[in-house]
Amino acid sequence: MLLPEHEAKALFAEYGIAVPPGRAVGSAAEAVAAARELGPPVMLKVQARVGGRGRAGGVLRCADAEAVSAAYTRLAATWPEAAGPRGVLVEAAVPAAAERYLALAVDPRLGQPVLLAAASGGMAVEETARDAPDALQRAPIEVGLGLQPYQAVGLLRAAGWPRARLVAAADLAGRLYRLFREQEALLAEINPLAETPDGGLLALDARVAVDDSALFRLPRWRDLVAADEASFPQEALKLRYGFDYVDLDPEGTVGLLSTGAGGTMLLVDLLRARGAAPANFVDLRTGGMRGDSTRLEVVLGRLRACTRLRAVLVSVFGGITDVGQFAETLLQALERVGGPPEGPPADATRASVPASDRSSADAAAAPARPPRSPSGGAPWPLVVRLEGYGAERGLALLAARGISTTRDLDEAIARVVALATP
Amino acid sequence: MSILVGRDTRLLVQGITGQAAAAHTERMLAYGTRIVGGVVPGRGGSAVHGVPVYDTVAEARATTGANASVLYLPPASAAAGILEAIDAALPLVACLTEGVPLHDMLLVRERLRHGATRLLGPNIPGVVSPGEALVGFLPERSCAPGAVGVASRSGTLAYECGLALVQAGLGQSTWVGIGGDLVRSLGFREVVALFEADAATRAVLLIGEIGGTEEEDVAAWLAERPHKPTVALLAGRTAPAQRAMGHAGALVLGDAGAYAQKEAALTRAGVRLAASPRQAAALLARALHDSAPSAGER
Repeated sequence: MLLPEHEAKALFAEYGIAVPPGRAVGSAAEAVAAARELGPPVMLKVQARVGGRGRAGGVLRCADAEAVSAAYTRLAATWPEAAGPRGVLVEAAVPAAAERYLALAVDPRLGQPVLLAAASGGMAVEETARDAPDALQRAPIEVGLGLQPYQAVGLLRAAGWPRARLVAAADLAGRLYRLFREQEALLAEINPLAETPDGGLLALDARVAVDDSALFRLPRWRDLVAADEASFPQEALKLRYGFDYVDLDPEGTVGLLSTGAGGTMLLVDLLRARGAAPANFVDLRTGGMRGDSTRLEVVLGRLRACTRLRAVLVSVFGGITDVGQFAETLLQALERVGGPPEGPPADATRASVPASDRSSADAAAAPARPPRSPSGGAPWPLVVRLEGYGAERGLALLAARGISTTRDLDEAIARVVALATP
Repeated sequence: MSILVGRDTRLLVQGITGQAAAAHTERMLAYGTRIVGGVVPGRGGSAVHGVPVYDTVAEARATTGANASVLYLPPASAAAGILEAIDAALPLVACLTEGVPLHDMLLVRERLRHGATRLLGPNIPGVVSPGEALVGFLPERSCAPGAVGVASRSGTLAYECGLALVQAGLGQSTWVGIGGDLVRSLGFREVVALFEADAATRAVLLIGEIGGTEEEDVAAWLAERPHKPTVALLAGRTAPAQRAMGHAGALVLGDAGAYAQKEAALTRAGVRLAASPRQAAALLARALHDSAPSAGER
């Protein structure tokens, strides 16, 4: 999981890597207060966990505290992430004499960490490396030995680092490597790394991605996700329910219930090639469901937010798991999430909606529920394709409930495309 | 003939007393795989489905003459199990475990550099030479003896392709799962080199996906030499480019990773791209027909 910048910077500080003074805030008023405390000029940086944030307008400079409120509003208007309780980082704008690049990443070909360094950093670092390959230097690291100081010095020299900052920068690289290993990072990147006029080194940005597979022994990041699930939706689903889910298209016409990342990616490709718009990506990991319908209910629940959904494609190749049992679990999930198409849906969260908002909530929910169709209880027609052990039994169970079933992948796709495209 | 596993395979099952491992052991035995031992510390002297259990891989190897091992270990201890198998100098290790921490795999890769062990995985459904030996949990309905060498990054997509091959009347010489984790061991290039040298393999199917450099690396290797008819199916053609790994991702990998780059590199190497499992099977059927040996050879 990619950490928000302010979390990565807190980590940097703990490892002795200097960062500008700053505070993560969740409202315009807090942003103004932070700017006053830090003293202008300040930077406002949306804490979106995406690449290319600066180029997309997610970083604004404010010359004085008066400009901060308007800048915050501008960020909030275009970036949903700004709404989080720590959605915007307000930071002292620090003058930089030079902007450099330092990172630790994994080279999958070597199966080793690599230290990357360039004397000229910033947003154009990739172009710099393309135009002058020697400008970017890289050194693989033997994890048994760790990053040796001489390696860092040699690399920085080769990258054209000034001699006066060599020892300090090599020390910083050592700290970054320790962080990379201890926090089980896939990436720890400082870009830009500023040289301040007084000779210091300051991480102006911080990009740290930790290994999802190591979260079982990294309680700090597990707790971060648990405390703010809205900001970490994919990680939260993975930790809570044990499967992968990504919203692809809120305007999508086809929902997917399928297993395997590669298999589901191909379904998405095949549907798009035929003009249908998949609403989601999912890897149910059916082997780990063992008769529990929770994962299916979570996906079906999320698909309800897609107002243009017209059909759901279920495709499971069970390998050696029993897809007959999967069919039973699917029916159970459909019973639970489905409800009579007329009348108020039985939804526990409804009671918490203020009376004044109920009519609009009803209006928003109503179009998502077309008349009940052969779907075993879900608000959309289903096409189910099962293959593997127990497929005959599973398909018969579903067909008895009027659900469209097949063993053939291409046939299932053709049927769901016909349902989804008017 | 086949590659990596076959009639000569003498297999150990690390973690054999686990529920899934025991069930899979029974299934592999029924398939005809020669399983000579299991390894679980503290359970030496017992047996699972008639397979003797040993406390260490070294002891199991010395006693049974094992030459391969398959790991059914949880993510937290999988790397330790691989290291033990490397230390015991097993020639082949298949790690099925999903979710092995990357930093554990960095240690494993370092150890692999100094030994003779070949590692498949982690995060693979297994490896099978149909009719000879099945290692792991690949579905049998997707396997048949045949002439197509298959290497796959994704599990479920490979099941689909295997089924399409079987439905088209084809089959595999060997089907090798290489896994999709960022840091693993044997890749497309190494497996394809083995298929090129294998007389029973007459065509190759690569099942890949976006991300990483596997497809580009094997394409560069294939472009430099004459090779058997090769077909690739890549998932993620319509997926948006990922930039979450910052500049470092692009700086380490260059242009590799996106569908367009992989497609271009494979096409330059003379590899045919298929859009679906069924189309992949059709392309392979055509390739095998065109390159069929004469009646005398058969």
